[in-house]
Amino acid sequence: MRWGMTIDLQRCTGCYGCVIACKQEHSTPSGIHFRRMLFEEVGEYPTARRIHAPVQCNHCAEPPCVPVCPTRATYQRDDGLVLVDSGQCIGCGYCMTACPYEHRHYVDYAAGHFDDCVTPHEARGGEAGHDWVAKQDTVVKCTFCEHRLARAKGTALVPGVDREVTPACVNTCPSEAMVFGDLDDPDSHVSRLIRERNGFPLLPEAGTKPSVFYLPADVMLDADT
Amino acid sequence: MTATASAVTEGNERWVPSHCSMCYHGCPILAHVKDGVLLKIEGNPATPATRGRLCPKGNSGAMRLYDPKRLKVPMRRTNPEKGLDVDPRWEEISWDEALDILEQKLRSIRERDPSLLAVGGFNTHSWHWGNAFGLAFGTANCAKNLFSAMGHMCGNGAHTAGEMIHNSMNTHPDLEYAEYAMIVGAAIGEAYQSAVAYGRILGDARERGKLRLVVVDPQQSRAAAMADEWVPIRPGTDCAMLLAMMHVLLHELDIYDAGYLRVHTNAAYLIGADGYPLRDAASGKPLVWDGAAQCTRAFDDPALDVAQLALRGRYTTPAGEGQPGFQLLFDHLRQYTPEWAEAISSVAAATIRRLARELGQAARIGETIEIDGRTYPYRPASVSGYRGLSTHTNALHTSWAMELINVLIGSTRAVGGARAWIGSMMPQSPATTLPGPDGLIFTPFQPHAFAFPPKMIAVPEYFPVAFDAGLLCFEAQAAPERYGVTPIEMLINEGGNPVMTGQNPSSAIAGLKAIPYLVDITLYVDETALFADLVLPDVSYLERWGWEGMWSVEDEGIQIQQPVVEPLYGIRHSADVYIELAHRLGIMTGPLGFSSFLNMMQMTGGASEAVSQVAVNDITHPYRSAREYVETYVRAVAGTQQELVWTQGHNLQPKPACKRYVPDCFGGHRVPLYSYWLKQVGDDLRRQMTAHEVLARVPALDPERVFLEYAPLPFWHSSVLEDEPAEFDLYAINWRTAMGGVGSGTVPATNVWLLEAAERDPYFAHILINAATARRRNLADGQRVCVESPHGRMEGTLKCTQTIHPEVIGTIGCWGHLTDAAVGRGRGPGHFNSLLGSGLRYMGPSTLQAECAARVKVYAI
Repeated sequence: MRWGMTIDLQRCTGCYGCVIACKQEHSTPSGIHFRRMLFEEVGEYPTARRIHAPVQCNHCAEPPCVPVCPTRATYQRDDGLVLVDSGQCIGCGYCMTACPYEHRHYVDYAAGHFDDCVTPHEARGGEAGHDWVAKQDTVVKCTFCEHRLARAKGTALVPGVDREVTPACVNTCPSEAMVFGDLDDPDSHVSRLIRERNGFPLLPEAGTKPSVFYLPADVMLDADT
Repeated sequence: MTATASAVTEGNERWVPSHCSMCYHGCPILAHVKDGVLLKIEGNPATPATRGRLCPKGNSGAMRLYDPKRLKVPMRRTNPEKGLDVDPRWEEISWDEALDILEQKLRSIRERDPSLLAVGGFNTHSWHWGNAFGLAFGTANCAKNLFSAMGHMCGNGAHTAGEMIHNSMNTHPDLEYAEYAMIVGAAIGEAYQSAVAYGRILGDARERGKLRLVVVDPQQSRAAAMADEWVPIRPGTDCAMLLAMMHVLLHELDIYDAGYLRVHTNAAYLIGADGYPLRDAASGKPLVWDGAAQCTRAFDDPALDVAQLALRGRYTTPAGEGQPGFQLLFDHLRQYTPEWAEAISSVAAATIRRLARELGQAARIGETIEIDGRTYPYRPASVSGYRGLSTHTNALHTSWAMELINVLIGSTRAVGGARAWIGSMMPQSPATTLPGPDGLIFTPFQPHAFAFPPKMIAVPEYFPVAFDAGLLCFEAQAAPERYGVTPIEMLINEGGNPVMTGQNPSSAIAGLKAIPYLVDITLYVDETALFADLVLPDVSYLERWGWEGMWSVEDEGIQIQQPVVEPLYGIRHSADVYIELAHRLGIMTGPLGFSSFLNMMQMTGGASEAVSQVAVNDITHPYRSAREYVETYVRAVAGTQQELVWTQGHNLQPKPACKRYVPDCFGGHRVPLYSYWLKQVGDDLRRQMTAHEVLARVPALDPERVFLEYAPLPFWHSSVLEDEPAEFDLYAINWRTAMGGVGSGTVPATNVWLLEAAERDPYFAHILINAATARRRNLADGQRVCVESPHGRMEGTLKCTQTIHPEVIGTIGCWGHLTDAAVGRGRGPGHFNSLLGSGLRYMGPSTLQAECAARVKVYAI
């Protein structure tokens, strides 16, 4: 069992739905996005292309952030999730340096987005229920919506199939560009997509073996050639 | 008081079905509330078009609800002086005091002349309450668009053209079957129709692998970036390219759908020398030429073999000499060669030729397809477009040319072709278009009746086919003698922020200053509220009852809005304020009462939709709340599905194929290839204006422009941009993305989550310029620049890109907020709309479509 995700660049419109759904789910402090949108331009006018891709923690099979953690706050679960035990984290930032994808975020202040108040949503830490005050001065990251996956235990609900137990970014995507599932199961939807569509991870040369795979868009291939 | 302190604790947990109002598409939502706190808004999975998905705006609703910058209590102005930099010296008052003030003001006005009150603004999905109140009050100055930028800054031209051709608010590609879709000035899947529904539909179309998507746009929208081809074009010149494409189809390729034209259009009607149809002497019906019998017949003569109907030629008949409308179009298009269009649009003639050929060949003229056991024409190719195509002074003819291409290739409402946006606020979308005169479809969008002096401050009497006329209110109010109107004395403005969203702040400010008493119902003390005498806090869409939110083009049914949380700060929904005032003024019940007019709007979905006479509310009942209204509405229209509506929030179902596709959807009525309807509107207008000596008495009207566009066929005329001084050598445009609109919909500027994401985006919040253009002017990426037009300026940071036309600079949205109410104050690239000219010269001659681009020069600061 190893949770993973595919992001279909042929379907993704770069709308930011996932970025803001993540923000809403986790009510992350100001300046912290677990999920971001990357852009690049390829070519020259008038044949140039703007290319976009959403990025997040890759929940790597060989996560460079784990061994560098002096307190073992960062750990890898049996199901592949790379998580942080904020009670153990001392905020040293080694993991931030180690992550080649820059998907670890230091909570330097837990206050909300407004100068004069914390909104009820921020105070509750969103749907995920983060205690952001407790997480001040620690490093945080995408959890693959672990709090949603956890709800599947003892039920017939299946992550990646049932909304209640599927990551928020996957659920909200208007163009249905994302699929979540078990990478260890060769017959899972994600495994099949990776095989059939030549799914690729980011920075394979870093040797991290990400669990997030991108399915190429024709347009992108055109632009590259 | 902080938002935390005021939150109501309910001590329970629930998911509340409602719908979004972060834009006007109204996607169904489920909101998770725990202990009275909104924790999560998700899409409602039980929805055919949106399938539980939600765009970034919809995902950011909690930061609208809990924005501490919201206005919390009613306030009245104590400083009579008004201005952007003048302190109104607000005095907080109670809701009872506010209602007493309103009652007294309204009574005084009603005793003199109800039309001295205007009710306007644009409060998304909560606009009919005020409209019904105004009608019951008895004012002519009552429409959801008055004193508002709505329509002007988006689709006025596209709406008029779409309604004229096929009774549709606009036209978009039927991507479920399309194999070729050319989209002009619209970012499908991002900001054109619902980003949520179309994200999936576009994704599915791309995955099928048969779709070729071509996007024509001065800048590379996300849709253009994902398209098979991006065609950059000079702003405001799309009409030239579209006319040239039709030239190629008819004069070079001989591609058109003769069968469709004969059966579903008036292309064969014989047009006489006066530009109107030749008519049968006895029946008055338009005549056609029967090529087999070599004689004229009434267009619907059962003896006629349709295949023998003449589309070309010139015929001498007892009713006079006439030519089929198609022949007139054919001759008219001869002048519009691709070489001619290249000079105007910058799109190469060879490209125009290729695009026309690709489109014509992809249309598969003659093929059919079976859906649900019925056979439909299969024309999987279309041209569609929206804001970028429509927001120029020549919008009507541009949008019309776009519509006509689809008619020519037989793809208007055909499977895979040009789809309609219709019936979107009715409990059921109509089965067919209604019958109009001469066998044509009836468009509920009828020309406004002439009157002089005009009765409305928006003067639609002079502009009978303008879809919305709100911005002209400011011009007329500021200079009533120039328009021959009586200025209003009081405006209730609800939603919208026309100072920022109109063409140029100077226009709205002059108009607002000329209103003796302004009431603003608003979420924030924004720039418009600075001119108010009384401000009332508005509820957000997450705190109110409503029934107006069905805008999806894909589904039909009803959906409701219900409070996800109780209104914060004890704020009252404007609907409840109107109901209270209607009781106090005694205008609640009866045939001309508030509930009667509301009943009418509930059934018609507004003036542009087809009319049903079914009663959905008891017009004799003294309703006490918006909730009571909505409950009655659901009871009346949902039938056996009431329970479903309350538990699911809606009873939406996909529109059946028979309501979407020709021939079923036309109901046997034809669409106009040759629009003598529009010519007639112009001729009538000219006659009325001459009889009343209007041009001599209304100095604001330009005799050269006022009748210009009322022709039976679209023709090229340049936008006002081409008349600006030559020193302004670039074009400036703005556009919307899924994260934000261009209006007070400048959502990133008023939503802290969207603002944060926008500021991390390399394109958002910058001024985009073509990298080569920047280099030639010694400008660099990241440099602060001033963009100056003949009308204003804005300052921002340059982003050099390869993905914008070399003659164009642009920004996403419209920033530049001045009051603390906007989280984006002082952020972003400044106020785009300050670059725009204002007044009639900068509006479409017949549509009042605002010119939303400008000619500018750019220099370092």
